[in-house]
Amino acid sequence: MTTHPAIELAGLTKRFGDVVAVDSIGLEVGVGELVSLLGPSGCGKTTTLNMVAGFLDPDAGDIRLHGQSVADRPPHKRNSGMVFQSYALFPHMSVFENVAFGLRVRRLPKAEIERSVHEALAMVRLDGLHDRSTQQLSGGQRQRVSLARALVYQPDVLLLDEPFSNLDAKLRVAMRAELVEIQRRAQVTALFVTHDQEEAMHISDRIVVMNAGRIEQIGSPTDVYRRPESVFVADFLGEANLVEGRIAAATAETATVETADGLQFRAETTKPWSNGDACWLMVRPEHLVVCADTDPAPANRMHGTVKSHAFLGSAHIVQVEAAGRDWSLKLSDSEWTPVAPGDDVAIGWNAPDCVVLNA
Amino acid sequence: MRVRWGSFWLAMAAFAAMGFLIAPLVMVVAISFTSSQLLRFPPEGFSLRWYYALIDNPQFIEAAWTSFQLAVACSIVATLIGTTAAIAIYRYRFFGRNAIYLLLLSPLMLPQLILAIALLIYLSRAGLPGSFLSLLIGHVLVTLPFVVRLVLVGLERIDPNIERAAAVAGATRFEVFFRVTIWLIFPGMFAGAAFAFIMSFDNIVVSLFFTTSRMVTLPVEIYEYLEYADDPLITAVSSVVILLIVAMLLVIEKTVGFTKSFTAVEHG
Amino acid sequence: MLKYRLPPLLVWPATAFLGAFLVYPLLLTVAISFDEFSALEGMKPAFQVGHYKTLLTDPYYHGVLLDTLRISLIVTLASLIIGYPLALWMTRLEGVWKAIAMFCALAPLMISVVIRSLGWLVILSDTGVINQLLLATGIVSSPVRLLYNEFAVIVGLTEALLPFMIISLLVSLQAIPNSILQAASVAGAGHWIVFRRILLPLSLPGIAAGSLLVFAIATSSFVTPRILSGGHINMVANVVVDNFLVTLNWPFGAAVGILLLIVVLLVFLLQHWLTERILGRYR
Repeated sequence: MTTHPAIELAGLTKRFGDVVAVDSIGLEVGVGELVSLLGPSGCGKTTTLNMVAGFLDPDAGDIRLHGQSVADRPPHKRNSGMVFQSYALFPHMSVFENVAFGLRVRRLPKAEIERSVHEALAMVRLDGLHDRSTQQLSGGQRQRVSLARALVYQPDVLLLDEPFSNLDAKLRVAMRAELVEIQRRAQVTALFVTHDQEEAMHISDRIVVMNAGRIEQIGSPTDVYRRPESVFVADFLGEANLVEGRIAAATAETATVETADGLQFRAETTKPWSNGDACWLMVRPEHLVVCADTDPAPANRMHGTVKSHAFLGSAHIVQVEAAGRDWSLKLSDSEWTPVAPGDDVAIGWNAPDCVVLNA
Repeated sequence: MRVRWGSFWLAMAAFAAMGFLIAPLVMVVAISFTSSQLLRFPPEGFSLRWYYALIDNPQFIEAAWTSFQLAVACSIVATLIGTTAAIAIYRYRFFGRNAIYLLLLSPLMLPQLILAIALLIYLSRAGLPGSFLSLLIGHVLVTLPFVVRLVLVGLERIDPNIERAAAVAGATRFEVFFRVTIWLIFPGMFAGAAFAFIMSFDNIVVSLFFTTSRMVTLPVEIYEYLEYADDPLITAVSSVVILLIVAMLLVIEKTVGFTKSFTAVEHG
Repeated sequence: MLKYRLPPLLVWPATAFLGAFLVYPLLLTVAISFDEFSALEGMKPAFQVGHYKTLLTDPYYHGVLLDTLRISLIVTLASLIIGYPLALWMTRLEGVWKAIAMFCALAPLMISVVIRSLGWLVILSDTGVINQLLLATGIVSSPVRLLYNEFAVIVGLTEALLPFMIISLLVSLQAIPNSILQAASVAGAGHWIVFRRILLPLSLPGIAAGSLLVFAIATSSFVTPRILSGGHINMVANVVVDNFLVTLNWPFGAAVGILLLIVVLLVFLLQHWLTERILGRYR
């Protein structure tokens, strides 16, 4: 028997009037994997999730859960669990009844419902609160009830629609770790929608970056951050210094990028480039350093003037004007040598730290 | 993104309900164009004879004129005293505020019939039985709560910072009110005035007790005509009323939202 | 700052108006309901409860009260059954379509009941649309009597009061977030269970409010019953009107009116209590 991916999207398309919200996307999510759909609002990530849940009918393409097409099935016949941004707890039911709902509609025996609900509540660390009204719970507790409600009947897939965006910043971070732990223990396949790149990086096995209804890139958090494949991905995940140019020279492993004003930068690359190709060069602010003139490294360097400096606690953000454009540097506090606006400095980065992108 | 379920049957049931609501009005308008003498659907032929007959009928014309004057007067009085009261209720905290608010809204909750007989007993003792004035008092009574509610809803929606901004910019309390506040509550006042007009123009329950042989409102005239005659003339006059009211409602819907306003009044 | 401030001048005109033309007349009505009345001498000030006694013991008025109660109950139930699907359907609509549906559902409320009853006269008559249909399809061989009976009154009142029911239902149905319905659906609930376990319990406040509102207005209706029953059925409110405008027995009419008022007030108290109880469960 071949093992099928837990979720398989093939050529999935959804239009709203003239707008193509989701444009023929394909994706496979392995069993037990946690995959995030990441993108700005309007990129189609929520529409995709709603099609997987069954709230929207796709205009084209197929959705398969464990190899079985579910595109024609209503939401209640897909055996999936879902956690909503607004919690969506049933206000007229206690915590216990909320969690028990999926088991009751599956007509399981009473004793089993009782046992499963208590297990699920223990898993989200809410044991003892089963008699509470949902109105008496804090935001974090509500979202955990919602998680227990979605997991208690052991769904084939767990769908999460920006589940933490109604929580305050600290709680949001704490819940991330908890979600990952619960998801691992429940061994459930999860599809997680978010617009928060840090959240996606924190929890995901793989990230699907979406833009304008299309998938820009699929990869591990490290991959999409370190090796973005498009300007959009580079710009959307974290900060990026982007320079437009052309390939001046290329080998199998390196490329030299020349900007319109004649500056040349060296980069390492795995993609084949030919001379004259239009491209963008991307380097993260944390990879830029302030260096001394006598220092042989880094490979790419230039002189500039400090425009501004801001201290953020863990890091310093410095804007430097060099070669006719602004460069953003993120320097950790431990390696900080004071500079002030107006100072002349040399900045640079190493060839392996920058990425050449298709224009 | 609604959950789709039983959509078809739900839509069928909804259309049936909608048909049920609108059927009598459609019927009345359709029959008004008949060329026959009979109050029967489907209408026979198409003619405007009953509209011509209507123009020649002094009773209906006079009643319509009375109703119009009454509705205008009622709308003005109710809007004036209702708006001032709503502003006071919204702005000030004073002794008996809740009791007065409840009193202002009470005509909405009490049956109009009870309001009408109580007023009849009182006004006839005061030597003012059927007359334009007694009709006006009765109509203001039943329309006042609408004005109060709608203006209050308008006031509650105002961002208080707008008025603060005006005050900080140097406007006196009077200037703030007349240059800023009044424009902000104008939609509510307009909706209140329009509702008062329609409800007065349409009122039968209160009017029935205060009309005299010389002072009859249009709904009462129609009601009494129904008692002894049944020719399509009555559908012609009803159609004119329907047209007028639907036109007014469309104007309210376009400007301040009739359905929104009405829902706000019924659920305050 | 003073602890108790006098009501500001702005609120006085409306308060005085209602004091003079609502509160005082109502007290006067209560007083008059205890007066004596004879056809020859008219009203005589007194304090006796004879009118209330007649109302509660006379078999004729028993019949009127029972008719009113029955008709009002059926009308309430009918408008709930007809109104619920419509209200539910309207919550599914968006934008322009929703506005159009709302307008169609609520606009009839603003058209006088006289005109709407006229429409029903035409629809329900022996030569009306329904009888034409029944005859044409051969279901009946001679016209069915649909007019000038209780059926006609129930139909007319249901149509007249349906918009009130729809508003109440709509307000409570719209307050249910779509995500809650989606959550139930994903958890495995089909249409029927979503309705039974989620929609119905969450719209109970609206059902209660709408039902009691419709019931209260139905009990005090007299124009529609009068026109559509052709005077054959007297509801409580018809008794009030007849006593004030025909027999001129104001004291008795006032007593009936006060009784009606008490019923309506009780109904509203019940609604308040019910809503608090239902909502209280969610807190």
